[in-house]
This record gives sequence, C-alpha cells and structure tokens, in this order.
Amino acid sequence: MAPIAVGDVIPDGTLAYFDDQDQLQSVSVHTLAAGKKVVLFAVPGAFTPTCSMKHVPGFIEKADELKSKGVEEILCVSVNDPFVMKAWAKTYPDNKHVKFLADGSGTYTKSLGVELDLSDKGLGIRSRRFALLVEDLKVKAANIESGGEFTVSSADDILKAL
Amino acid sequence: MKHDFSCRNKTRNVYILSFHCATKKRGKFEEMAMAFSALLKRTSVINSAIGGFQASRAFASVAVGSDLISAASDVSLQRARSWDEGVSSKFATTPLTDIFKGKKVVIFGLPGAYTGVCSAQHVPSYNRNIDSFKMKGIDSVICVAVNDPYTINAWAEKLQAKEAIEFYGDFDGSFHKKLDLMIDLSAALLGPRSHRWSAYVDDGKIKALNIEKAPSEFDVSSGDVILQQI
Repeated sequence: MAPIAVGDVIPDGTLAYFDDQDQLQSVSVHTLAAGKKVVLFAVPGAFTPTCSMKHVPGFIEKADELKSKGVEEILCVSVNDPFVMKAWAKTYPDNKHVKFLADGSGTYTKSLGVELDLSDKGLGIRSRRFALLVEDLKVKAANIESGGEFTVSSADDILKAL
Repeated sequence: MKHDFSCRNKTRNVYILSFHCATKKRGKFEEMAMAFSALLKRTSVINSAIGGFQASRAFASVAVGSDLISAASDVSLQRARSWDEGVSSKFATTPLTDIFKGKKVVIFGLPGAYTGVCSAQHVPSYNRNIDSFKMKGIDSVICVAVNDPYTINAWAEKLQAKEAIEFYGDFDGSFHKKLDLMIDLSAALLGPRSHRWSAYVDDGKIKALNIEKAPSEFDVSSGDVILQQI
C-alpha cells in the first residue's frame, strides 16, 4: 500500500508503553492525537545507532521548541516490544516530552504503509524512518526516508514545517 | 455467527479450550480445526508428561538423545553485537555447527530481553554459576531469545553478563521454530517468542532438556538445575 501522505487522515491503531508506575498500557493513536498538533516519528530499531544517536536526541533537544509552537505530543514509534522501548527510553534520562511507544507486531507501521524489510541485518520487518506533523488527525507534513537513512526526518525538518 | 468449541477433559482436568469464530468462511473453519487438533495433541502430551513425573515437558521436536544440529540444520543465529560490529562483520551470522560441534555447551532460551523473569532470575542463575560450569568442562554457556542482536547486546551489557555468557538473537524465530519451542505471547504484547528452556548439548547431542510448563515460570530451566544434570 502507498505510504501515508500529506492530506491523509492517520489511521487509528494501538500502541503500547509502560507508564511511570511500570504498568503496561495500551493507547489508541486517535485518542492521543485527536484535536491536537502532534509529531509522530518512527525509527527502524531501538538500540541501533542512527536511531539512538541522531534521530531520537534531535527530538529530545527540540522538544521545548516544538512545544512552544503548539505541538502537544511527540511520539516515537518503533517495531519493538514495550519492554525494549522502556529500556531504550531509559537511556535518555534528559528526556522530558518524547513518548516511546511500541508497535510490537508492526501492525501500525503496516497501516501507515511504511514497512521496511531489514531481515538481512537481523532485524526483521521494521519501519522506515519518518517524521509526521499531524494536526487533528490530518497529516500536514510527511517526511519519510526510503529506508533507514537520516536526511529529511529530523526534528529540524519538522520545525520548518510548523 | 459464533461457534463455541469447548473441550473440558474432566478426568484429567488439564485444558479448557474455547474458540469463537466470527465468520462463516470455510478456510477459517479448517484453520480452527487444525489449531484445535494441534492443541489437543499437546494436551495429550502434557497429560503423559504429568502422568509420569518428569522434570521437563515432552513437547519440542527434539528430546534427550536427539542431534540438535541436524534438527535445525540450516539455521543460523546472530551473535549479540552493536550496530557498528554488525556493519564491520557484514552482518555475519553464526551457523549452529560453529556453536555446537565438538563442544560441551549449556544453552538456555527465554521469552524476551528486558522482561521480568528473564532479567531478574533466569540470566543471573547462569551468570553466577559460570565458574561451576567451567569446572565441569563446559566450553560455552549460551543465551538465546527471539530478539534482534542489537537489543540482546544492549540487554546483555546492562546485565553485565557478556563476559560469562554468549548471547545470540534468533530474530525471526527460525531456530526455535525448528525445535518447536515457539509460543505466542501476543497477550503479553510480545508476539511470537520462545518458551523458557535449557539444554546441555555435547558435540551436538542433547544430553539434558528442560522446558518450563509456562514461560512465566522459572523452575526447571535455571542454571542451578542444569548444573546438576551435567
């Protein structure tokens, strides 16, 4: 299926995370994003370098700036289980605003049309790297890499779209 | 249209199965019937395992005496690694022969990196016994899970277990599928994973095999138990 694009309504889906009390929670994307400006960005995998050292830190650093421009949620999604996402999130102790959400079975990634087969790297089916600016469930900016490279999907690029 | 298949085996009191089939499609029925009979097979195997007291469950495609390498002949595992190590090794994988041939190996599998029992009990039970394993002539202690090798690497480092234990990822489950040790843990938001199990393998031959009845349990698969079985 064609990947998500500007003008589309983002599909609903369920993502998982561990809350501050270490309880496993499921959340619907539409509930999180309805009526708000949100940034949704995805990485191919927790604990992999570009994701860990460039993509995620960019959003953590620019979180305050994004918030000052009206972004209410900054969501990081990856095809990993919530245990791994929680452990990975902990490696960013300075993070205040980015929520790490697990798309463990890749269902939401598939619904966005952004799957990436990284089996030859030992990762299996993951998500392409992308960043979306979504306003009240409508996609306003869709910066999707063709694979795992890091050219258009940074926080700076999203800030330009705001 | 709802179908409720319930099987309650009162005399053995083992399983209650119920399926709800929301469609009339014939393909779905056949799928259900196959899943149902596969589960029934397991039920009878569980019964015989419980009937005769055994430390391990009977169902896996291998058993004591089997040759592990030929059971999973074309399978490779991915050694735990950082991404950079992956790049420089050209994402090389390790065939089972390299791991098991001519060696005395203790191997244990678990549902997932960073999950409770796996982190807090299972890995530590091997980590702390490493000297005892070496004294009994064990060449390597191996931990494997259905995770990608980068996640396993980060987890192994966090547990400070990489010195003692070799960690491998079975990212697509192909190793565990060959051994029939996969279990669907979607209810725990983990998806298809492996059972919790352990084995002592000598030159590829299984000498001891322990599989927990449920992945949340931690009993027969611990390092302490297998140490006594070597």
